[in-house]
Amino acid sequence: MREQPQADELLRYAREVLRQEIIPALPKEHRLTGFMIANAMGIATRQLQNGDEHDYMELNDLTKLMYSIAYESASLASTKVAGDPIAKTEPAPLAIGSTNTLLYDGVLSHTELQEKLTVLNRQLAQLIRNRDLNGKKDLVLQHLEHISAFRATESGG
Amino acid sequence: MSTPSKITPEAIADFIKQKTDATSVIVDNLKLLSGGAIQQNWAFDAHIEGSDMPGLLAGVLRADAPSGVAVSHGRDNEFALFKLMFDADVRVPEPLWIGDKALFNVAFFIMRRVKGTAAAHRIVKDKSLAGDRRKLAQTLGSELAKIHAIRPPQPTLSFLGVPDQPSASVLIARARTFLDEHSMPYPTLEWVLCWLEDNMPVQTQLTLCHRDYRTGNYMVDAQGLTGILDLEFADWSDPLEDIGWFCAKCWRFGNDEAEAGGIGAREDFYAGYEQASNTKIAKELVHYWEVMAHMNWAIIALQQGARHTSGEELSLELALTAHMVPKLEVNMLEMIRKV
Repeated sequence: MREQPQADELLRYAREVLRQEIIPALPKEHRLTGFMIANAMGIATRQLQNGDEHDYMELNDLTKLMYSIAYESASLASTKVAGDPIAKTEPAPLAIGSTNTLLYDGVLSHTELQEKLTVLNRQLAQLIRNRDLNGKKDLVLQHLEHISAFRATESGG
Repeated sequence: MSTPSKITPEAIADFIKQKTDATSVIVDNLKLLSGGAIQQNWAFDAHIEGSDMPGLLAGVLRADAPSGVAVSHGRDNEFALFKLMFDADVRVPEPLWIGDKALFNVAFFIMRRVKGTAAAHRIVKDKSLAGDRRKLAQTLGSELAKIHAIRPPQPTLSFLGVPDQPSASVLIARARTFLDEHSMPYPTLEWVLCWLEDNMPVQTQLTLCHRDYRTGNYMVDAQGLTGILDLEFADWSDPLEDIGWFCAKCWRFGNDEAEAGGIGAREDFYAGYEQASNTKIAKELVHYWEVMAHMNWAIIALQQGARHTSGEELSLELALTAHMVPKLEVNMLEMIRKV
């Protein structure tokens, strides 16, 4: 259990003090740097406020999305020919529980979470570049719009 | 790499004396205007006696920064670009002399100093600056048209390779190469690059393009445009690249309704351009090039962020620039949905 005020609240308030008391008192040539520091603190505050919850959701969504692209055909009518590389006999890449949640042993560290997200996002980027979305373009676009909107709220914009 | 020598008034005075054959040159008011990892700009006043330009010369010495980071044209090449444009009647500061690299151990040139301010946020907000905004938008259009009147090949610009692929293809390939080498993946940028590839219009022309023509890169005084700056990214390209960049939403500095650079109406900017070029802008293609502008800016923003993160140049400004990318991604997805 951490001491209060915690990271996001501490940073948020420190930023307010910076803006209200320090920046106005800075000589003109340093004021831009003061605003940039306030900007950096704002981004950090929002990331801390959000914590890792959204990253876990993104990991979950990405995994389901990649599974869907790889293993579910776009239409019921089979347009596949014999020897199709996406064969239904291949095992699923991850165990996806019946409650549709991703199962991990314990909790991931922040670093591990970022690493897993990087790997999956790199795979998704490759599939997009190679036009290999297997009829799931709409799902992918929906995912990208959702993630972009969230990232923009954190980074400011 | 040899250590650069200090830029002093005496050294500048000596250089100008040589170049002008003056009987005496005194330099004072030497002041660093701006400096970064790529270049430095020093303002100075030179009092010249004798020669065919006696009197006060308000000058700027523009030098490669000591670190020698080569992400854009060095001063030698930029001088050639300024000279060609000045001779084509483009409103750029008059380039005077290419420097002797041995003097300060960095490439430099001297140009006339132009009055006014280039501060983008100020220009966009402070209507007392730059005179009539309709006229400013038209002037910025006509000046751009003059830049685009310069066609390949140009012997003094031999350092610019003439591309054999359509400009849009070149830019898409460049973006993909960068993303392949970057530490973080960007699926949204990949998505937009596919759109740019699938919707690529035919190249309209190949002309000299400024490639950073936007508010922030030109100077104005109370009356109007005084000078166009920063030719470090200039290259042969489709002129719509410049038009898309100037009108792109990401370069309006918060004044979104003023679609031309945050300072005026698109129609006025186009009108100035069309009158000076005696052509019509392919208006139905500008949207594509505005999407491209957002993409190019996103790639540059990632490059700038990487310079900080890699330790190459620790800078809060560079670190924050990468954080502009998410908003750019949202804008791009909105723009391509519209179509």
